[in-house]
Amino acid sequence: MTDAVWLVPAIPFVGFVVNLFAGRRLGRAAGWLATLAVAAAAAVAIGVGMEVLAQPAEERTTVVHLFDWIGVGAFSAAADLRVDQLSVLMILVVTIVGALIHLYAIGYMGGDPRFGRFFAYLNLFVFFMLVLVLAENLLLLYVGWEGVGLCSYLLIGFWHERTAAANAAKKAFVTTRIGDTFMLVGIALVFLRLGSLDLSTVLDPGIEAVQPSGVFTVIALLLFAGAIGKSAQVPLHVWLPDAMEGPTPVSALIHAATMVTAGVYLVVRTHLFFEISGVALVVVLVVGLVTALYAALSALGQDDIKRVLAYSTVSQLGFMFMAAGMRAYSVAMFMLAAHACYKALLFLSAGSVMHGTHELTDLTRMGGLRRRMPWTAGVAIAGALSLAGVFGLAGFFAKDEILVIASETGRATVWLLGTLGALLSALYIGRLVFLAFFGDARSQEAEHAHESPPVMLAPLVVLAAAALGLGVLMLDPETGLVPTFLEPVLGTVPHGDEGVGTAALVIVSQVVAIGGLAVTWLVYASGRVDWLALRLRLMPLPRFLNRGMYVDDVYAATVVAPAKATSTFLADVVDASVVDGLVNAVGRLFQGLAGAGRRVQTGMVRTYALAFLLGALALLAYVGVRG
Amino acid sequence: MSNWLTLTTFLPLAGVVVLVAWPGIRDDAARAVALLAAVATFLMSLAMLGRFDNGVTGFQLVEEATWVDAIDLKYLLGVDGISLWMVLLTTFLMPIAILASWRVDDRVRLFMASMLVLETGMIGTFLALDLLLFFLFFEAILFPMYLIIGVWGGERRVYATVKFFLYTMFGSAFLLVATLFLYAKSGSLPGGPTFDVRELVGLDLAPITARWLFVAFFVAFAVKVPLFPLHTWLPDAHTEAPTAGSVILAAVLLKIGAYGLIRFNLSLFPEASRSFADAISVLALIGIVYGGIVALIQTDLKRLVAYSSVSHLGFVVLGAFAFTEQAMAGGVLQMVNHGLSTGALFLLVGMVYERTHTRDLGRMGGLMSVTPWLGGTFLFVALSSAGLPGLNSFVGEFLVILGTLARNVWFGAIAATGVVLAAIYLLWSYQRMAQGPVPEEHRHHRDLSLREVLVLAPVLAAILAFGVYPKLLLDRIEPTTAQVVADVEAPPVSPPPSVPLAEEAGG
Repeated sequence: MTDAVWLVPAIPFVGFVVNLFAGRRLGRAAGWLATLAVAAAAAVAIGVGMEVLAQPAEERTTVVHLFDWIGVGAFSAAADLRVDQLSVLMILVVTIVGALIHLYAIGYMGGDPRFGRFFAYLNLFVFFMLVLVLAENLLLLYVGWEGVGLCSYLLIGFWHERTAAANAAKKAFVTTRIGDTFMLVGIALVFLRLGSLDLSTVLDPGIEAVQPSGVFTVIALLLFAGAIGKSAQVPLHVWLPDAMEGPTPVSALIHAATMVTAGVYLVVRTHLFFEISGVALVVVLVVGLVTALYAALSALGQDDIKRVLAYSTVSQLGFMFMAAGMRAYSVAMFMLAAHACYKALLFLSAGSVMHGTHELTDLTRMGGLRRRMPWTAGVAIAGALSLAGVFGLAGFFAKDEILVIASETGRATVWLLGTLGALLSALYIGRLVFLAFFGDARSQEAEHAHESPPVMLAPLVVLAAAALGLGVLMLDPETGLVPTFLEPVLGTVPHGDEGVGTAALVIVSQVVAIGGLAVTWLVYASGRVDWLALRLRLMPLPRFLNRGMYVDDVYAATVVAPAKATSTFLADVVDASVVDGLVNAVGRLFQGLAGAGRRVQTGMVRTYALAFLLGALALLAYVGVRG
Repeated sequence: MSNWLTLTTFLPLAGVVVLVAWPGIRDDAARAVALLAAVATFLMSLAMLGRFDNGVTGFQLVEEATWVDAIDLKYLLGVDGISLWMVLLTTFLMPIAILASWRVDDRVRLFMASMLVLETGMIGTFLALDLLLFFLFFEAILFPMYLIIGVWGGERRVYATVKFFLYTMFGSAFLLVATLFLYAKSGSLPGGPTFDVRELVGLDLAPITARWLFVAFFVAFAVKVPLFPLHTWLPDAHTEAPTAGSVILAAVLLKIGAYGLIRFNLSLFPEASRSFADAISVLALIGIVYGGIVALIQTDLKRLVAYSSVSHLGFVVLGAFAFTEQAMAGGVLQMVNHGLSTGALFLLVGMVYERTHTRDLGRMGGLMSVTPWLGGTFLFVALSSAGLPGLNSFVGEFLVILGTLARNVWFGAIAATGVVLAAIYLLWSYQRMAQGPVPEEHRHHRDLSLREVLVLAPVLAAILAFGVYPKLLLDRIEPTTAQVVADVEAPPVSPPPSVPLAEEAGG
């Protein structure tokens, strides 16, 4: 079964090809075909996973050679797939969550004129994502890495008639490519300094002796730059909120559950480099912490339901990087899996709301939706509770463990700020739920909302179950199922005995989570606070948060505008006048010398060419005679 | 049969003979004759590929005959891992360019004959191993190219041809003088005076002489590449040339410059090559960044692609002068890939123009809604040009960056910025052309016709195939490029002490 692991990416790829060329003729079957392809991939992935589990813990890494890709001199990169605990976890998340989102999209995208094309892109995305997580070679990983970026571009701009969608797509591709280019240089340095791009070779602990730690710092930071772009961390986070222009299943699959977690996967996969460096780990921790807080604050200021979730995703990814930065890799991975479930759930719920309200996304115009959309409301509340970290739910075991580790290892500041981030998470998600589903309807659309069809609700229910119950895999950071499974690849979760006891930390976290939710209920749903008036009184703070603290505007002024000016200057002044002006001057000189200014217009080229050839031959003859 | 190279080189002329000897030939017949000749030439070059032996590092299938004994001019053809792919690129694209010119209906016979003469000139240029013979082929290309731009070109074609002509003549003059000078010096060789490149390599030149000669050759080829600041003829020539002219110009003619640098500058003047390497690399880097930045604000689609060529060819020259196996092989690979991607871009620009009658991006929009296959194909090719991994150009660019980083970290890092710029200008042009609302006048264009699909499909297939399985090319390129690098005798490329690297990057 393990040898057949290539089927996992291959099946969705076949789905892509079929739907690309025959999607229109297939009609609604295109969606079922695509869903089936991912489900089949999931089945193979489960088979591979079972086989891996059946083997002794130390023998669970297999490399499957497909073909030699590039080879020049000492350099080679092969298309090899790596099956180990980490990649198995990733392919399971990608294919299972992916299949559910495909299923949902059959209902959500029904009636779109480019239905088949949509599923072609979606399958292509799954293919590239699987290549990314299965790659044994860093350059092959990069193929998947850029490939998912391409699909993200295609799907954000899926409704390309809209200028906003086209702009957002381009912004996403270009912003992430800035990070990717650092990463590409990093990959090149891995080969030049460590002698190979194969993970089995460069992730051997003995590699530490090959180069001084400074080299590992450079490599780790360059790779991390790629992760910053792909996982939308500060300062390259600006593309993700705009990416919400894409259809909502895309937001769920690509911009919440899978692609944006690729950066976390990359850091966790290559954590050896970060550990040897030391400094790089601190950078990861700090970037994660700053992003977690920044994005959670910004999420509080959003009125668009999808933008709340987008900033929330950025923030949650920050938490994952915090975990990685504290060497708690399996905690980061568990949070990745749990987040994939509850955030996909929340996005799909938002999509369900939009589906039932004629594309309403403005939270201030919703209200009371739980009466007309009870299923959607129920699963969204489950997702929100999990995200807020209420005791016993999947989100709790993820986020809480990160805070416990921060406290235990004596990082009091990280714990404090992380707890603040947790509070903010409870606030923004509580605000979303209470504004959307509670109180009275505040618009016609909300009043006449209707529940979504079963094909959309079924995946929601499955994801809700996961968002609530996935914690059973992570009951204890040492003996839980996920950490023990990942331990041979990722090592044990670090522990210390500083700070207060775990019980006290849990009480604090529950006060924060439930308290935060209670506050939002009081403000937005109890009817005792006029939250619109409150917002006006707090201006300009809400606007500051709404604009993501004006980071986009700063970039526009400091990066985009000067770049445009430089480009214009080089093209219109330097190239047109200086460089070309020189050439034209020489040309005029020749024309003047020839004294045939007007004749030049017609016969010059031919005359000169002939004269030139004759001259050349004459010279030849001369040299020939003399020689 | 042992003269595969001669047959490949001159087979197009058979088509010319037919065109000339068939009085009153109808236009359709003329097109068919040209297409037939070009396809036959392609098949012949495939036969050449079949005879090619990967294991041999030097020249293969050599054909040698005395031509003009008085001046030691030899008819000398040979192929190695570099010229092999240049020839195949030429013979592969020529039938496509001819098929893409099906709608040329002014003086069809002359047009088709020019294309075929052009093809013979280009193949001969890549195969000639006698310097003077090379020069003759090199010059023979120019005349049909003038005609193609000057007769079938756009409104400002006269300006463009004169400029193209002046630039090229400027370069050719240097090339001729240097060639003759080298010949004059070659009397000291054991075999007596010669233009034979294989023998000239052994010529012992005073360093200062070698440097002057290097510069003369360099100027001639740098104009062709074109290397900054000698590039300004290219945007004008591209803008005014008809589609087939732009395709051949970008895909093959520019490669002659890079090919000349590798074949002649590096192998004839290794010491001078080493001493000029840094300066040339800097010019190449300027080209990469400058071409990319200038492309950003172009509104004429053809000018935009022209500037992107300046940027992409910078990678080739950078690779050639990094003197590492990876960079050199990557540079040659990039020559092929740029030919495919940019050739395809110009084909598509032509198809867009036939529908919209404009190249002004400001007056386009929404093509993806009206002609999704045309729009999608454009995006595919643009992504290939932007170096998306999995497609062809990525492999060459990565190898150049890798090989350059090995020699100079900063050169490699700066080159990498070209990858970001390419994404911006290509996606921005795609957006203005294909996305957004559809302007009223563009609502009723038809999507790709069968002929257009036939024109594009082979190129798209090659773009994908060489991205997924570049070994097909690399296995044949590598022995030759490794030898070229070894012959330049570059200083060892072992990594510099690594601690300074970390400090540099940290600072």
